[in-house]
Amino acid sequence: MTTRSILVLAAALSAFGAAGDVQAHFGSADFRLDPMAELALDAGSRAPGSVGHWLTPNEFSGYTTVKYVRPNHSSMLRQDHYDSSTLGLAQTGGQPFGRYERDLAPVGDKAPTASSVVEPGRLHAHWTVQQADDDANASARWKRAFVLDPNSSVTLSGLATLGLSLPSTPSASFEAHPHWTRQVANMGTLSYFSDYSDPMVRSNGILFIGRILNQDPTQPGSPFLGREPTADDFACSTDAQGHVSLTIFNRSSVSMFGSFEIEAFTSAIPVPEPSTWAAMLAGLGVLAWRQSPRRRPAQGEGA
Amino acid sequence: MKARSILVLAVALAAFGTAGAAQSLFGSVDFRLDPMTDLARDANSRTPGSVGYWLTPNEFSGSTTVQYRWPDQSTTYLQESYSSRGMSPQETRGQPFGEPYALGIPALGSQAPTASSSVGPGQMHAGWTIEQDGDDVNVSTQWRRAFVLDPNSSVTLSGLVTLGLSLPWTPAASFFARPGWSAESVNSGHLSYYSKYSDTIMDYNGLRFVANILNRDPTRPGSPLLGREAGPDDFAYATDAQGNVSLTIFNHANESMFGSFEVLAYASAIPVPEPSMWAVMLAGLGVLAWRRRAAGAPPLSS
Repeated sequence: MTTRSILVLAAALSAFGAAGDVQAHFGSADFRLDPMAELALDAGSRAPGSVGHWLTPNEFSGYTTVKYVRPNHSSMLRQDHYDSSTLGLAQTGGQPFGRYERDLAPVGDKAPTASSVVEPGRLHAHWTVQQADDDANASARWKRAFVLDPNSSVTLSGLATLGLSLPSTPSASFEAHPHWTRQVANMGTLSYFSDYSDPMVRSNGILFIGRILNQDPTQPGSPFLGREPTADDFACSTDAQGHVSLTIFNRSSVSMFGSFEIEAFTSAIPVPEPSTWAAMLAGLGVLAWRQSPRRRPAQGEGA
Repeated sequence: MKARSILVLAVALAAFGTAGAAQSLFGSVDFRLDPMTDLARDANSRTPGSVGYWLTPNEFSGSTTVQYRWPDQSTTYLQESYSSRGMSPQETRGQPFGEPYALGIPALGSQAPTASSSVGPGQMHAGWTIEQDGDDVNVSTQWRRAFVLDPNSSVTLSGLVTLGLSLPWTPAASFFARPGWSAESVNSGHLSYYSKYSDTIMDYNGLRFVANILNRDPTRPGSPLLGREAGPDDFAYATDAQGNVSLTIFNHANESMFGSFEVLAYASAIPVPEPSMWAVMLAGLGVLAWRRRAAGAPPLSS
């Protein structure tokens, strides 16, 4: 029993020491889209087997943020932002998702990094942090409207990969929001994200949004189409390997305006401070002390 | 009346043209402190003729903020800051404002704004440049230090302020006192020396001096209040058009006084009106002129 206590204490102390030292942390959210052959690039290029066409170019945006405290206590906060609305068709046309990259390279020893990437078939956000006081986050976001044939469905699917230097398990949740606004008859949101034991820490994940629109999105003032949400407008699936899919159904006999949106986001988790570790140590100590009377007989039986 | 209208329009259009073109703008504040020999470095190094001593080390900090639009219209917001907190006594114990420390910003791209903040023995600086419409930048540098002043004495902070600004401006100064601000602050005198741009009420760069009379030893936060009272002649100040400024703090009591000086140098970019803005202003002027004429009112400046 004494040996065990010492072992626990040693483990706790090594954790304490590690918190004082520099730790490298990272987070990433990556999505690789399966080919979407069922939607033609535009109304004029529909092929047999397609169920509709993209109505707008790729719309995307992204940001990276880095907070860095230098050894002399001076600090830097940098935020970079990009938006496809100011870019040409060379970067916004073609298959999803478009093309742009924003990379915040380290600006000093042990400085955080962050990057946001949009490229054909891939969205990616990533950060690294090496010091307790530093912070970083990144996001890459894409959106595109389409027209879907009557009595058809279109599926957005691919592989989501989340990376995180702290223990977490991937989780998923889905919600439908019928009558979201007058313009949006129904909206389905599917989240695939890293889940921690502590709900207070910020997370990383990928958000998929499907919208059934009540209006042509390229003509903002046009009359509403009287589209009504139904209970089975959406279908979704996820698995532990990160395969994700979100399907939108057009259950009517007229063409439907809809849109897909994806955001890959990731944000640094505050590294526990030495005082937190000390509190945890105290907590562990209390736990060990309370458990010890009950464990003693069990050990005796085993011997 | 017609010739006058055309003239106004021509001036407005000239301004319009300038706003559309790329302009280089700059702003800066420099302060050179006169030697402050009347305050000793600390309680143990007092010389004859000194009226008190510095109680704390130099406390200084600075920050620069830059907003830059890249050629592809993506944006970067960059904020840099530094502080004497965490620096060694060698760097903060000497004469105001501290050992040389300079903060620049890494070059973001061509045509990106620049910003710099620095302190050094006897000098403070804040400055920026802008090359593109729509970019933004501001800089501040500040210093603070507490002292002990002998009974029935006074101490003066003085020096030369140099302002730089790429737009037409005139120097301006203002002073106010704030007696009984808090339990700790018996009285404070605030002297500003700044650039007054055109007719606007805004200022974009300048220097602010603050002198505080304290009701407590600032190095002992929990210590009892000293019962000091504010007086009408706690401060005196002077400024001139060449940038000479001085702020004096008086101890009219028979006991030693705790006090502190603060200096803040700040410089901030002037937002250049965008072409659309000028168009709106022009339209507004047009409407005004039209209404005045319709009402049969005389021209504005007659």
